[in-house]
Amino acid sequence: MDVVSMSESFGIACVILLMPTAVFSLCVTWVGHRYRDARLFRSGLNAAHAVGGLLVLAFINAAFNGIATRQLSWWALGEWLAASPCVWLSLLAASHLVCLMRSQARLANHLHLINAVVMLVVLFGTLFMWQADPLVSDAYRMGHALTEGTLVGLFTGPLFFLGSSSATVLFALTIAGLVSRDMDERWVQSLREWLLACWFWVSVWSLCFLYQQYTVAGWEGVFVGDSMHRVMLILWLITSAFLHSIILQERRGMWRLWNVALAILTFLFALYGTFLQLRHAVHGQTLDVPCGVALGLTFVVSVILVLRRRRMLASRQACASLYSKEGVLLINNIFLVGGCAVLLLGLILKPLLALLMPIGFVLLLLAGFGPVMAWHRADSAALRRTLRWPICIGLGALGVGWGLGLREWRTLTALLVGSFTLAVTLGEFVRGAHVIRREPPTASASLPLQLLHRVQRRFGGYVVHVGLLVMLIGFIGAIYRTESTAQLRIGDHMPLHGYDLKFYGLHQEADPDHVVGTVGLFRDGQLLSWLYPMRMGDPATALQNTPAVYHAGLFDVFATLQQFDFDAQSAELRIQRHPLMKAVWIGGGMLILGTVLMVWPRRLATARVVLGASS
Amino acid sequence: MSLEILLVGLVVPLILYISAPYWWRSGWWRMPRNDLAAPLRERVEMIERQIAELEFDAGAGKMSAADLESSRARRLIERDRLLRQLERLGGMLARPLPPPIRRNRRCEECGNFCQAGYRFCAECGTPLKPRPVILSTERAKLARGKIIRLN
Repeated sequence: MDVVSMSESFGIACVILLMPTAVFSLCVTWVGHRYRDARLFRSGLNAAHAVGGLLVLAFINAAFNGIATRQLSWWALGEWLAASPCVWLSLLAASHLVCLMRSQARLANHLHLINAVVMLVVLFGTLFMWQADPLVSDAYRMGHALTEGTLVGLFTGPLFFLGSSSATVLFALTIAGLVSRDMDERWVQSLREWLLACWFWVSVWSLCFLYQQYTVAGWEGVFVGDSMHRVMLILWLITSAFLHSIILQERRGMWRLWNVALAILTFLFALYGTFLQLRHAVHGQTLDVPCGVALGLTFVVSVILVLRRRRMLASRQACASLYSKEGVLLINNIFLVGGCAVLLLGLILKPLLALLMPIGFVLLLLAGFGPVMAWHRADSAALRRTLRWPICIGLGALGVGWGLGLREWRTLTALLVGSFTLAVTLGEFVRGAHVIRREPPTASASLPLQLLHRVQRRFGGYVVHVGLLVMLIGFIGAIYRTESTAQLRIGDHMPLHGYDLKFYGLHQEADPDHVVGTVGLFRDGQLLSWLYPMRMGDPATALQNTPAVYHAGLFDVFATLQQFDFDAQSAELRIQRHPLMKAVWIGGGMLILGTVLMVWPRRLATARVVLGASS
Repeated sequence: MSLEILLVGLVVPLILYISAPYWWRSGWWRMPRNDLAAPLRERVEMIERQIAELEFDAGAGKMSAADLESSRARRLIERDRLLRQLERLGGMLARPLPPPIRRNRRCEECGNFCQAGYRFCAECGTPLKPRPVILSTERAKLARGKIIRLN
């Protein structure tokens, strides 16, 4: 028996054993918990570990098989990673094991329920493993243009699956809390941890996806074009709303029902996104009906469970006034979930999508009001005092923009809202520094570190807000994108905003489908760079058009091969100049940094504060 | 190597691992149990953080001094109740109790935060008002709803 057959048999053996092991784990853990039989219970947990092991073995085997036998390139491997149920389930099993480890002492009464939910999802996922063979799917050829030329393409798929796995664990925790009627502070804390993980992976995945679309597939600012974009944005909005609303449950015992609803929605959209991601790999899309049934069943069961526990989920306190932090968080949630509704309704009524920009501005404005509001009821005098300067700065920025001749309403609104929110956020840092400075010097740590020790989560959140503002600069810059198209023959020139492009002809790569143009980018007679825009396969498909990019300071220059006549060596070139897009990636980096600051282990920081105060 | 041999090769270690609690004698195979002290300790730490944040907000001018005092007093009572519960758990504690808070006080005249134990503000020299102190020895009375204030 050769290596290939052995590898295929090994993969089949893993999948055959996977289903009974998952069923065994589900049942035995439940029975062990019911009869308080420690050995039985531990056997069930060991079976859950074994499920993880089998999935990892199946994944390694499939990757080995793909690389060894079909001579896949690393870029095609990226596409496989994005469409493989093996990768999804392996990452889900890994997240589940982390959750089990962290919950041993914290949520002992929830373990069997968490395990049951995750095992059910694994059992459903194995259906894909039976039907899908991503290694021979058309996904490679279709998606080759998406993955070629950038390392980011290798990570987009696994990043989404990490987000989806975190959402599954989040859902499992929610169901466990509902069934066991035990939703204490430790449960909320665990929920928040997994929510942050989900939000983080979804954010990083969105950034990678955007980068991929921008640099490789020639993204033209059409952000909500296809289903995957839409799911990505919806997931990000829902998890953002949840991140804000869970603060209220943690601090004041409010919005428990709303938070449970958001957890269920997060899972449903993550599962839908996973199905969309995997559908490329499934021949004939035969799993569409089971996927729909699974989503529907999950929704119905969750709703029934929530209705049965509605009294337990009632808020302990009411919102006393809208003029408070609770009020701002309420409006924030309404707009974030409203954004999701607009995205969904946009499927039917496309003009509704125009509302997304105003919703974004309102959310940024709320990011400015939220930090300065007090809990319960804000002090009007203090608020006026705090907001005086940010409002002046916002109006000043608006005046400067108007004076400079800017008349685009989105730019002017962004200037007003952005500078107001930035001023409030930076003001919070300054006020925090003043508070720390007024205290006697007890620690040798620097000022930013002391600030983080005192109010770590809050300042991590502020860094995220600043990151979003920086990203806004990039998105506003996209309004000022310029482009020109020209039919060029060898030796022809094409001017664009101080740059000069010279066409040097077309050639074919090893694959006859790949036609590559050679363009020289000049400035003041000096060659800046060679650009190689590529077109492959069917000329009518935009996805198969890979532009060449030149990064020049604040601007990016794109060259795209629109049409060509290979025999005549002539091509229709489209040249685009994107200003300020780098701000999106810098803002994305700040967003990641802020999240890391939020999740940095808190115990050390807290212990130091307590000990420092008492010494 | 056929599929059957591979299956047997996988099944044997699988069964051994799953049945380990029945043949491998170890203290590890006990029922997971919630650490009773942990939620109380975490709640105490959360209250500590909330008090720190309240003081921070008051220092930043987002709260009045009266609001700060009332919010802090409420949390200190809650913290003390939890500490008593933790003391009752006794030997179950994996970590020592957090020490009682002796927070720095704020001068009502200039707003400067003064070290605990100071009677005058180090910045402007204004006498600092003594703050109600809850003694740990009086916790039993606290349980009955009485707060001993020593001026």
